[in-house]
Amino acid sequence: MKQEQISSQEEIVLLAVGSLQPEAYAYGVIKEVKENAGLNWSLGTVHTILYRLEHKGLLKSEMGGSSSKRGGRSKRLYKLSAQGYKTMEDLMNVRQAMWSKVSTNNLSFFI
Amino acid sequence: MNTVRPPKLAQQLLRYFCAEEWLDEVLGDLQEQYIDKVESKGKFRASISYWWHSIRLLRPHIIKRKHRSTRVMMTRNHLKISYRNLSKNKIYSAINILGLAVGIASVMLIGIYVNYETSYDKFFDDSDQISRIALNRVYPGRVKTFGTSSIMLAPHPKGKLSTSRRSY
Repeated sequence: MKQEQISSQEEIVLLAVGSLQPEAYAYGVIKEVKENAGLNWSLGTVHTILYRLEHKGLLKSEMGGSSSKRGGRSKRLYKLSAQGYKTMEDLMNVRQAMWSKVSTNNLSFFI
Repeated sequence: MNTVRPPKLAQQLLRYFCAEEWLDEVLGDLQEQYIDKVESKGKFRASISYWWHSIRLLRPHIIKRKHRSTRVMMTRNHLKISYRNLSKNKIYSAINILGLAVGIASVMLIGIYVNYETSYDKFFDDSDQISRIALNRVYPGRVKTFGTSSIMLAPHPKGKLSTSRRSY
């Protein structure tokens, strides 16, 4: 199985978008990443990664969903594209396949 | 809640450099983060973080483009045309490139050699006054030249060397 060329940062953002859908926007992704992975990413980082993923065709975006907390400003809502979902699935399969080999081997520190 | 306002100057900075299609969204995200920070860490820390995050938003795809330089735009075309020209006339470009490479290489080698040859004995005072006494051995039919001569000649240089004050 061929591994899609995306970085681990991009992978985490993809997962966050997938789990936040349909309310996935930059600040929501930051909160999700901080909660689940304990990483403190700045807005600039996440905006850049989202932009890059959209250019690779793994995400789609549209404007919408303003709230009074944002001062009535709209946000860019991201969605996984079919290709993005497939990339995530492939990544998971690769990891599970390799992980099952790791865990069935006799690792020295288990003894 | 509505009394909390993010720093005005930072917002102006963002309005200055952000492209139109990003500005709304970026300001909204920052404001949401600011309000959360005010609740958890207080107003001062929240303002500092607002500034910090607005500066970190200076990313290539967010920054507004005022004008596009034709020189930059044409560079890709120039590179493409020159590549095509080079690959069309393969023999001539090979001669050109090889000739230039050999030329530059020889200049560099000559430079290194001259630099090395003129670097001797620079630590003596009056190093430009130093002369070397060489030796010509005359054999029947040929002359053999040596770069060194006996130490016995050192105190009394003769002939052309009479002007030199010291010899080594």
